[in-house]
Amino acid sequence: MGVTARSDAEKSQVIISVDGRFDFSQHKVFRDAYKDATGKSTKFVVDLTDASYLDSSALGMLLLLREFVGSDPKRVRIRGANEDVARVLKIANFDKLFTVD
Amino acid sequence: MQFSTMHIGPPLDADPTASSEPETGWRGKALAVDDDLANLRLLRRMLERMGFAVVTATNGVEALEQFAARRPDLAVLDAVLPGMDGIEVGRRIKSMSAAEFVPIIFLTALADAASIMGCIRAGGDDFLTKPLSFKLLQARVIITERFRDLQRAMSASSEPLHELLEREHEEQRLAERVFSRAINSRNVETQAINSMRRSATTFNGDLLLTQSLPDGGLRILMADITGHGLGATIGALPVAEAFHAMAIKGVDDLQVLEEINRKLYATLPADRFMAAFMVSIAGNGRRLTWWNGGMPSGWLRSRHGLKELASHALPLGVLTELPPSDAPRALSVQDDDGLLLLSDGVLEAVDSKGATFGDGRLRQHLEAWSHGERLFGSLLAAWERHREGSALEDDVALLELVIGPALLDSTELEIGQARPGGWRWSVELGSEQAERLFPLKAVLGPLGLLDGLEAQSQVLEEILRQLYLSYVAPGRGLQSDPSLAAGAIAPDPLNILIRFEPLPSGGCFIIQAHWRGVGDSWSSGHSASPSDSEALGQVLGSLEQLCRSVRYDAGKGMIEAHYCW
Repeated sequence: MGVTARSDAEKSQVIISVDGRFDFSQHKVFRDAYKDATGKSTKFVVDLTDASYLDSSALGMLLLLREFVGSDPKRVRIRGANEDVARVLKIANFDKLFTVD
Repeated sequence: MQFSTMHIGPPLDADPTASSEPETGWRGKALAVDDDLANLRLLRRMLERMGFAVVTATNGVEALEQFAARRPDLAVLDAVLPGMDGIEVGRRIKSMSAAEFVPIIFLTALADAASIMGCIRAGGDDFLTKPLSFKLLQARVIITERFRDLQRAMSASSEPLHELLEREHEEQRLAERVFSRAINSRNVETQAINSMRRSATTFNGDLLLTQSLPDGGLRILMADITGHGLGATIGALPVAEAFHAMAIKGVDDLQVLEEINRKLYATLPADRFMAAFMVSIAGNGRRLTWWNGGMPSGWLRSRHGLKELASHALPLGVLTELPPSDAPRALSVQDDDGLLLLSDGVLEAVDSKGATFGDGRLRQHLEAWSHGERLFGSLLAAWERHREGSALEDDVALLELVIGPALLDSTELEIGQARPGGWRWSVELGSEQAERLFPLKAVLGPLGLLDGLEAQSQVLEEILRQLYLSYVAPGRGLQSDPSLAAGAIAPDPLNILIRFEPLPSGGCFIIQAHWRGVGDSWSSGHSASPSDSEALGQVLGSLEQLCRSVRYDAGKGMIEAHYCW
């Protein structure tokens, strides 16, 4: 359960993996996972392979990450969403804001 | 543990258990319990030296009596006592002193893990092995006193917090009344709509707005602001203002959405947004414009089948401007086409086993929905049965619209605007008097209110009878509850308002019923029993058979039925 961040300096990318329920309780750890990334071109991958659930406050957290990267849709990829999680992202049409695999 | 056989040292007290009322020492009062009198005396001396006034006991029963009578600040107990053993005494002392923290130190002969675990499980805060050592006892006492002080500091600081919370709730309730009036007061009432809204908390983050358009058409906005409570509702106010003002002026859908989007983008924090479904039906009833940004699919049942109106746009308040791909879409419609809108709280409501209502169950209802029929009553009843009165985790909104001429005369049914020849009659009845409403003819007839309405009075009577049946339904009414029948508790009064509105050819009865139970237990979701929700479903179902529209407003605690001819 929780959020882990893994930095890949070579590719200048941070992989943020969410495990379990992605909801308001992850608010702080999710922000901590990216707030110290400095590079202007650092890319983020939000890996939802192990996320069982995603609610509207999680959508809000993704919007904050989007704001952090200056609203560049190419700098945040969302991948690995299971069927339920993908449906929430689809209904919110977040593929218009992020690169959703 | 055993009676001492020999004693060396200073003479024993005549009887260590028969101590006279001790003066409280500077450190407080301690209860010392041991069946070995020599040990007991030693323990007493040590505690006194630390500054305690000491109360003693030699068995469990006596220990509990002393504890109840003297309320000591600390208890030191031999783990093994004759009769009721020390572990059990410790457990009872803990349950007697739940409100304040009284540390218990157990004395054991053996320091093995099992004995220690037994002491701690019984609520012991610490333990000591015999023989007693003054230094060790003193150390244990200091440690437990630290716990006690921490505990006291915590409970002292949480008391004002409770008060604050209570005041906060009161203010929320007040703010809620102000907000709902501001947001809902301008909604138009129309027979074409059946709707239901319920809140998980006092404030409802789900918004349901209706307004007439200058061409006689109708515009509906169902929206869900992220989060619940006050934060969610504050964003609703500017949305409601913009929606109503622009609909009355006839501003087109896209411009309204753009304006609401701008307002929300400016007011909401970056992680908040509003999912919304907006629908406009032209005054000729032939064209429907829809826009879905982040809401569950809406459903249109036409002659040709079922059409899904899936989310095609981003929610509002996310981007500064709506992207061109997010424009509203249009469909042609005909009389008796039905539209169903819902918020995700409907799909996510869980039953006692944690299973959601879900798309699958909704699908079953949609597939059984035939053209020209109403779905609302049966769907709501099934939903109520599913969640069996369990508490709501999310706000809920459900709406059904039937396209047809009824759309157009919506604004003529404003409360309080009695037209020539129309009338309104209301009554508040205690539960024991409610049955006197019947026969209704005998009540309204002598007033001359049914003159010329004889043909319709039978239906009116039947509608009222349905409302009355739900009022006395099992679980709330006096007929089934002996304590109420015996007059033990005064049940809530039943309020009935009947309006007659003459129309160019025919007329309408608008019947409103409310009592505390309608809004309270059915809406809060906490106290509703399955029988309540079934009663609600049945009433709405049978009223739909009789009426052109039925509206159940949980917020106002009201059921309203429109019967027109």
